[in-house]
Amino acid sequence: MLFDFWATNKEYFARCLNLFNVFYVVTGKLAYSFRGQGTLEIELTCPVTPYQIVLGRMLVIFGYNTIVGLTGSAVLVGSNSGLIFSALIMDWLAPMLLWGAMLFYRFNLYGFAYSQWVKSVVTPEVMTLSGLGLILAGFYSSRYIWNRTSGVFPQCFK
Amino acid sequence: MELRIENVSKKYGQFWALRDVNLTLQRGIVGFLGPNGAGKTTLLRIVSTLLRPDSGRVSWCGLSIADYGLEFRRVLGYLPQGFGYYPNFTVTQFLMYIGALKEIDKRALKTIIPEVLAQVGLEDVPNKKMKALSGGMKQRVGIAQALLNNPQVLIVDEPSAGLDPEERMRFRNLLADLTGERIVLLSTHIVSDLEAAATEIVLIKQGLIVRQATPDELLAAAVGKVWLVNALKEEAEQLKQEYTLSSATRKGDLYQLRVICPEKPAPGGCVFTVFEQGRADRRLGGTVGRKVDRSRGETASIYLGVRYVLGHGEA
Repeated sequence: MLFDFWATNKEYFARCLNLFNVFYVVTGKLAYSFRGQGTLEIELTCPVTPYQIVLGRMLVIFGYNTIVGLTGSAVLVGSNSGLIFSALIMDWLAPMLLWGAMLFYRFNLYGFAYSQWVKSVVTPEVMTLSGLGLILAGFYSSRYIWNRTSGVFPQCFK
Repeated sequence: MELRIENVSKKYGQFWALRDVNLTLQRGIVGFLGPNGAGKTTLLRIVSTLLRPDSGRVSWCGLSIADYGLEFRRVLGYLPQGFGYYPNFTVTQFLMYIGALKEIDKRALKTIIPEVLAQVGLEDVPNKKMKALSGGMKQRVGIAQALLNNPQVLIVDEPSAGLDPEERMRFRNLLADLTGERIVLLSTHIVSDLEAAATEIVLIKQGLIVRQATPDELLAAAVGKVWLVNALKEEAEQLKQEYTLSSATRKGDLYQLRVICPEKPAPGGCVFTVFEQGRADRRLGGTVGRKVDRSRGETASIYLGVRYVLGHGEA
């Protein structure tokens, strides 16, 4: 019976891969919420920017999610679902990248909904590029700002 | 090597945390002393680039740290109040992590970490988890991480808070060893933390710098102004309300108080018969006043000077 459900709802399961977007944030929150006990104050006095630290951590989680997502996609495509592998990957990878980029800019609450909406109006390729663009722009601008400023501490706790 | 703080003010809502602070700091240990809420931590956070002042400027070797944040962070070591750590990291892992944030080469860190651990007396516990360390050991790891980049400006905020007396003593000695080619900014509300090592003491009260002086100058401020008074309970209460006290101990029916006051204390304006110490007579209701004499080693603590300056606003 479970097999029948699987066989007739492959499209539905393909859509469920989007849940990796949720995992992305949940695992990120879980992995890092309880690790440090007030290390931020030290980290903010170091030459490496907090943005770089966040990006590094996000990349680790992003990597794990991508591996799981690719495995799931391969299983779906391999079971003669008629799905196209590259299209399926872009379907979840592009929103995840865009959401990740928005997390980087602290849009964490609405990022998922926003990325789903964006998915309906632009192509996954555009989403992927804009996500990458956002991350790179944030990284370099923060580096520039970090070099020439002080007093980011209160903003970090807003 | 000069750290200059010019006209720095900081306001939280309607509360002035710092008001027009001006300081010029040279190498050595500079102790920031003041009661809780005086503005010490705010000032140190401004210097460590964590907070931006509402007005004023902090400069290092003539360059504003607001414009040269990155360059300043490269010469900065910071141990905050309530030092945070990753509990499941080992000491070495934690130092590797902070070292990476300080842009220190990984290979160099393998040499530096054992050195700083030896410096803080933790060479035996490099592989112990952070959560398994005692409070004093964690603080020493905190100092170790601050020393990784051999900072020219070392900021230590309330390092001895929560430590037992033995660990506090050890920590004081450690700080005394850290002087040299750097400025150490040490904030505390415990005078004895500074006595051993501070080259200069800055007294802060309600966001204002009350005085910047050497320990000897502070000690001199109290000479001749400390009075040893034996008093009955009611008199002791009155004295506590009217004067600045540095200590009060109970000896039988009498309370022995150290009163800090330029003139001989006379609670309630009453004239008290002055007796030699040890001859206080309960029936006479007498208070024995005797000026504490520095030459007899009785005012060996700068605490008295600090109490006098904070209590009277001048020295």
